[in-house]
Amino acid sequence: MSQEKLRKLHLIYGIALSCIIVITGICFIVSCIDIYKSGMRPFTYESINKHFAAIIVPVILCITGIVGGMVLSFFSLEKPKIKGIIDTGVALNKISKRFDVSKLDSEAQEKIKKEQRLRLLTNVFCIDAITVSAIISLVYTLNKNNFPAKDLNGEVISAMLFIIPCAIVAIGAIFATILICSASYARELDFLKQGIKNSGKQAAVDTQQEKTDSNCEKILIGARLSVLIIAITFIIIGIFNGGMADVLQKAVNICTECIGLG
Amino acid sequence: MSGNKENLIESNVISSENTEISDTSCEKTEKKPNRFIFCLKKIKPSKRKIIQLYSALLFNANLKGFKTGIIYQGSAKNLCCPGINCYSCPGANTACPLGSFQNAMTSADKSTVFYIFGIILLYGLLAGRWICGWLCPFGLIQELLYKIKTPKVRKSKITRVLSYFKYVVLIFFVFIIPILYSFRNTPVPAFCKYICPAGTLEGAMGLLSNKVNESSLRMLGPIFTWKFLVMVSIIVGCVFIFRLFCRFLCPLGLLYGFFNKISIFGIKLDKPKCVDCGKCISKCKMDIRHVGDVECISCGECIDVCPTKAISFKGSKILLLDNEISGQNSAVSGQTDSENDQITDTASTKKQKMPIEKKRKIFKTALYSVMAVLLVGSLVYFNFIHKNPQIPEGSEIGDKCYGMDIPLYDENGLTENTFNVADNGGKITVINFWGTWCGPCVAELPHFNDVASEYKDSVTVLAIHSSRMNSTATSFINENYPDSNILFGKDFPNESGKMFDPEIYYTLLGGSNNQYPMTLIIDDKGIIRNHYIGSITHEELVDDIEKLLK
Repeated sequence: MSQEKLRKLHLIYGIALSCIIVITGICFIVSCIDIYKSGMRPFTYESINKHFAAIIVPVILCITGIVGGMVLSFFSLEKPKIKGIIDTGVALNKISKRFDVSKLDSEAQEKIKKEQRLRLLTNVFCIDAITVSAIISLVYTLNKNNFPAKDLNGEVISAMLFIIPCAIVAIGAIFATILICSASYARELDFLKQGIKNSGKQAAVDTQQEKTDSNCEKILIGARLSVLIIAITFIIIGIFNGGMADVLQKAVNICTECIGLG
Repeated sequence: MSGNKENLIESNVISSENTEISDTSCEKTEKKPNRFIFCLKKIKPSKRKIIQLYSALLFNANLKGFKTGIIYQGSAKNLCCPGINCYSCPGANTACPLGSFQNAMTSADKSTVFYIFGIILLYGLLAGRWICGWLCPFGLIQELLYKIKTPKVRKSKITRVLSYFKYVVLIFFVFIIPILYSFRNTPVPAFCKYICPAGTLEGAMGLLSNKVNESSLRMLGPIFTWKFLVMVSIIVGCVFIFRLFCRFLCPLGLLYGFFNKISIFGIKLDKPKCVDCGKCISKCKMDIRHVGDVECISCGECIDVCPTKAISFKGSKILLLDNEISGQNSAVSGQTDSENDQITDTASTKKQKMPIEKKRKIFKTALYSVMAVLLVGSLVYFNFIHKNPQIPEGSEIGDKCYGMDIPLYDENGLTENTFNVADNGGKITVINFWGTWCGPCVAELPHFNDVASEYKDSVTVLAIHSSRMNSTATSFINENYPDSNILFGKDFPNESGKMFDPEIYYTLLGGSNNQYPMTLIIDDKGIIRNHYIGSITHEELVDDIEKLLK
């Protein structure tokens, strides 16, 4: 079988299996909601099995599909060549260290400075958006009146309904920043390349190793030792003040909340 | 090397559009393999998969728990599994670090936080997010789901942005909400309660699938429906998105990720050798920006694709891994690079290599032996040697309720006054076993309070607090139920002296699995009429009492 046909077979099979899996997942969710809304109490295995018996067909199809997929995987496709993803920001940073921007032509310098200003403004905007979202969320959560512990689920849901829009704003700001900065890095890289072409090797600088390896090594060892000492101290304190016993006590009881009971 | 590197960078400057770098290893022509051998190679698990399976089995060695429906209640649960493994899973023999951490946050007594924080720091220092890639049982489940043959959602800027959602989960669900409610003496392990799919899958499905725990089905409600929905969504999502939970939701992975730079084991990048070709980022399925950052799970898949061999495992000197042996005899013999260059005699090179090979062999043999002994020993101990406490007879519905003098609390603490159900003839008795550390127990106490007030002439409500963490009981009762008609008592610690063995009265009245809350309804003749394991609703309680009063 040619690679092209094999590729098509894999694709069709994959799409079909995806649909079956998604449908099966939806069936499970709908059955669960149906059981909950049916109001039949107390729940028993017989009553639950009756509800789930209705979705046995998609489950069997799903399992069959998965097994079929395992068989199909023996007819492998050629591995595609790995295309390197170059982070333009990292590439720009490295190249900027090897070429002195002030020695490039004025047009290139101006364009590069403009891009840097744009990125600075974008980062400032992003940080502001995250800070404002965080402050608003914290103001809500630190207000004890919002958590009187009378209706736990209701209070947590209300908190989430308040916090999630703030989180969406913050994440949206991060997303916008990433998009704008990526485009800006790409443009700056182009301007830098153009500037280097025009200026020739005049802009090249002698590179020096920025940090000696031994300095890095010392900082790393210092950090590791500090964390180790703190960790061991905390564990010893925890053993002696009953913390370890509390962990054990919680672990040997069924955490009904963890498993969704109650 | 540096000259070559500058040429490469300059070529990048001139033609950065040309990002496709041919993989020289793929250019080698290979013989068409035998189909049978090819199939064998296909199904053979990788080293990492074997270690993941080993770890999952080691941390869930209490296999008899799946058969008996009873969780392990032994002292091994003093230790934490490095990854996410719900301690309510019948097979779990260690505690979950995230669950324990939240318990520490929710506890009014904040002393617990030292121990668990120390454990997380230690694990982070030792391995960072290497734990996610190699040891986490739930990570294994996600990777196995990803192997299902469907089109996959590739990583992109969107997935990278979504990976920041973990910070929101960590800050609000793991820290803020539990701490807030702890000031109200209400334990709310928010992440475990509302999000964690491992708890639903391993704990709930594991326990509820056993007929022994049929009574727990009574406790299913909106929380379970929500968690089931979350679990199914994550499971279906994991088929299409690599490690969906790890990338977008897991707060434990995020905590470990902060230690990636300083961890002893993990992945490291040799920056002088790196030419920023980006193949490692392309190969990696996580949302990394560079190898070894917060998102990196140190799976090692990028090592083989690096053209300059700049990526390697940390701790390789400790484990005597290949990258420390091949072509790096100077590291072993203590010679400098210049001295190493002078060695041209291949015979002497071979002689220097031999001791290292031998060392590796001995080390590997010792390591595999220890791992095998640990696993076999765990399986034998947890399944054959360790015995959970037996459920006594005579605590079933219809039996005469066993009476015991239970010491009672007043506003100053425990008193010498006692209550015995055997002496409560002529009145209905409701016995509830609870604890301040138990969220559902605390949530249902108002029902008992209402019943105690409404039926004070004909019903006695006795709420027996566990002897564990009972120091918090007095303050809780004074703050929340100062003038209540409920009689608050305390159970007796077991006679074995072991803290984790179930308590005396709780066990005598049929408690098992240390499952709180537990409620018994006893009629005016002292006969047990109903026995609830788990929460009880106000309607059920009133119904039972009304039936008995008639």
